[in-house]
Order: sequence, then C-alpha cells, then structure tokens
Amino acid sequence: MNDQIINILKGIIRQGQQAGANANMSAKRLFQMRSQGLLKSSYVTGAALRPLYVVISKTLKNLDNSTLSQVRNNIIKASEEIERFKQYANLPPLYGVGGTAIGGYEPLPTPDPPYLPEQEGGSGYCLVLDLDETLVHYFEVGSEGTFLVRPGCDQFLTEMAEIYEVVIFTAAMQDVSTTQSFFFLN
Amino acid sequence: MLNQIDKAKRIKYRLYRQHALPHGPVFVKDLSRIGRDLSKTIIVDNVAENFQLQPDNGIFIKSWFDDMNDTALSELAPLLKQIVKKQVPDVRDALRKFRDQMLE
Repeated sequence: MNDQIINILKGIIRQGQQAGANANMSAKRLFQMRSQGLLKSSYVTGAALRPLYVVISKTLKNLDNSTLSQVRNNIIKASEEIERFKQYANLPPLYGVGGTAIGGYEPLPTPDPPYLPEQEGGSGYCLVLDLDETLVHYFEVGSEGTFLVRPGCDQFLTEMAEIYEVVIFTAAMQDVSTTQSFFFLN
Repeated sequence: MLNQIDKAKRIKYRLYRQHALPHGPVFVKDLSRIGRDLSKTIIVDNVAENFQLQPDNGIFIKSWFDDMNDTALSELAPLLKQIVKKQVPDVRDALRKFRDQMLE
C-alpha cells in the first residue's frame, strides 16, 4: 500500500516538473489524496515535498487571485501535514525523482573537512553543481552506459566559471562521474 | 582525456559520494564541510533533500532526462549573474527573497 502511495507521489512530482499546467493538476491530485487520508499513512518526509512545492508555487502566478490564495493555503497545509510525518524519516524516502539512497552501499569513509583547499583569488563566490539530472542524464542501452547533456550546459558552465568558482558535487561513485565529466566536457 | 578536461578549467573541483554524509536513508551534501564561506556559496541540485542541511543556500532545479527544449539552465543564469554583479553580502538572503517573490 505504501509503495503504491510513493509511486503515485513520484508520478505527481514527475508530472509537476514537466509543465506548469500539469503542476496545477498535480496539486489538485495531491490535495485529493490528502482529503482521502492517503498521505497520513505514507512515508513522505517534509523535505520530500519541497520539489513539488517549488514547482507548484511557480504556477500560482498564472492563477487568478481567489484561486491563488486558496491553492497556496492548501499547499501550506499539505506541507505542514507532511512535515509531521518526519518520524518516518528512517523509512524509504520519496525523492524528487533522482536521489541517492544508502541502501545497498557500504558508506565510504568520509574525509575530514574542509574538503577543498583555500580559494585562490576570484570573486569569492562558489557555485556547487549537482551532476545527474541537473547537468546530464545517464542511461543504459543494453549494457552500454551513455549520457545526454542538458541543453545550455556548455554555455552555462562557461559563463558561471567566469564569475564563480565552480565545483561539481555528485552523490555518484567516483568512477562513474569521472566518465561523465569526460563526456560533457569534451 | 584528463588533459582535455584541465584545458577547459571551468570546473575547479569535484566532490563525490564519499564527501556526502549519510543522513537517515539518503546521502546529503553538507556545504559546511567543503571549506567555503556559506554566505558566498550556492548549490544547484534537482533533489532538494540533498541540500536539506543548508536549504537557504540551495536552488532547486527540475530534473532533466531528455527534453531537448529544456531551458532551465539558461533561465537560472541571470539570477546567478546578478548575485555576483551586485556583490550580495549573503547569498542566503538573496535566495530567500527570490523564493518569496516566486510565491507571490
């Protein structure tokens, strides 16, 4: 049952991330689930709703004022409600769409901070970028791994490197992401 | 290949899973451990849980799979440029204001 709810929510979030109009539909579906009491028994954590919340909030601009405040209140209520279920945080989380679960991996020894040497000159501003589903998308065709690069990635990196110290922070394993770096930098 | 990457010199450093901290059932990216001033550090990630320890430093970007009409990166660039151009003293304040605007 809970797996089912998580899958529905994942679907809603995926939908919500695709287009503004869909996000509004997703919001309605979420509130419907809430009124049916489905959210109360789910594993959803507070942070998990955030992606959906941000996506929906963007679409609120397009609604008329009365609907806007109503929808907004509903979202806030839903967030609060889900926030109360942090006790389930030790259970499988709901991800935006990606996410890196610990299950199946031995945690690696964590190096001592600070991870980076002192900043050399520059603007002082540091931009930390995720890799998977942010800049690239990795997928497998048969046993072959391959990558797609998000449109605008090359220009984005070039522009950002002029004003920021750009750091890639991926939760992927090092061997995989090194290959990825090769791909989109070449 | 490594030389080619270095030629570009756009990405200064790379952090991997061993730099992410186990936090409940997920790995989180704890910015306080990287050794940078948090008032000048921004993280862009498609998974908000990843920056839950420093939510004010985070910009959530929608997940990208294969939509070649996606414009999220080019839409994000102006905000990031403004922050540096204006030399904002604390990026967390700037991003908070930006989020509030989005909700109005």
